[in-house]
Amino acid sequence: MTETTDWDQWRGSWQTPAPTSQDLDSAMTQFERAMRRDAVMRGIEWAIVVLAVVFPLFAIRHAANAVEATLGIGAAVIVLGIAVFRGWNRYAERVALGTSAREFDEATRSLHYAELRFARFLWLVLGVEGVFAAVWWYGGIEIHHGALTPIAVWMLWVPLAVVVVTLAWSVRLRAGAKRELAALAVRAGAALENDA
Amino acid sequence: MDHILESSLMAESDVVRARFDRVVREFGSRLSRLVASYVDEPADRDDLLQEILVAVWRALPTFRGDSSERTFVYRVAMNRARTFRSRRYHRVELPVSEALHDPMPPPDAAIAERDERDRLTRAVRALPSSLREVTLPYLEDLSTVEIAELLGITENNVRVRLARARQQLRTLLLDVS
Repeated sequence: MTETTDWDQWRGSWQTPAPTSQDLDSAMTQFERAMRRDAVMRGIEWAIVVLAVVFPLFAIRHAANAVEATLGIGAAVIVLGIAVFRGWNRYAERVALGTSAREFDEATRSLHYAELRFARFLWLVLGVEGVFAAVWWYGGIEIHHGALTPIAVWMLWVPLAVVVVTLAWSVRLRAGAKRELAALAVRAGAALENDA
Repeated sequence: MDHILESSLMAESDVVRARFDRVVREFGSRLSRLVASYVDEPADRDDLLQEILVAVWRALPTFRGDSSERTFVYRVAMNRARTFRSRRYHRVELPVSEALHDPMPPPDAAIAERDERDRLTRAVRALPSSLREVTLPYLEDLSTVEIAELLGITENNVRVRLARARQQLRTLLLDVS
């Protein structure tokens, strides 16, 4: 069979099935549900960001010294930085989606490398924050002689929780980025193999 | 002022929504076929189709008309499908016999056509990714120029890949016959 005949025949078989309106309706229902879920998740994410920024900033009011205040400000800045980074990443991914497969792979690769760099940067910042945290906790207990009000205890713990959660998130971010980069390398390798 | 801004934002989101609905009506069947040729399990198909629709919805406002809308939607769908497949399957390629073997013979001629289409879908799915990427749009009547633009490769490369894809598809389909 000639090349044209093959493709024409396959096109004929390929294009015959049109999904029923029921299939599309079901896909659209799923889409609507996914969008609602996404809107809720984003709302929750922003609420967490706002809380995680506001709490450490309030905590500064109880700071005994500049070191403790720095921890609170640092925690707030980390959270804001992560929110901005995620927003920028999402935007870049959205733009990359409409580009060619090769450009998309390149953009995705550079996004994942940016995530790796960001995770390493966070570890440095968190290390410094950890040092501040130890001083803060020790200083808080000393100054208040162990008689902290429940709110004051919360104010002390929340920035520390932000630090720990951020550390866990950065580990996950790094692992995800490495996994995606490995998948991209496999895909690029397979393409080269087939082009050879 | 706020009222004007609000109504202009509302109008913009309505326009995007109307555009999205039209795209789904126009390209829905192509997207379904693309999904079927990337993943096998019905649950995975549902997930991928949903991910593609969400991706198209998000990417549509970035469309600046530097290619046809068909190419743009196909780009978004293929990029999402490639990522989905590599995440889910980690390069697990189905063995050819398993991919194409259907233990149930077609009961009559009416079903034979559907069976033929399913066999072709499974054969396309069994192709290496770089060949599948040129085959899918070609089966959807995109020209070699459009496919080159879609994938960011040269037209000559598209032709070479199509020739290889044809050979492999013939072998895959004949193996079962």
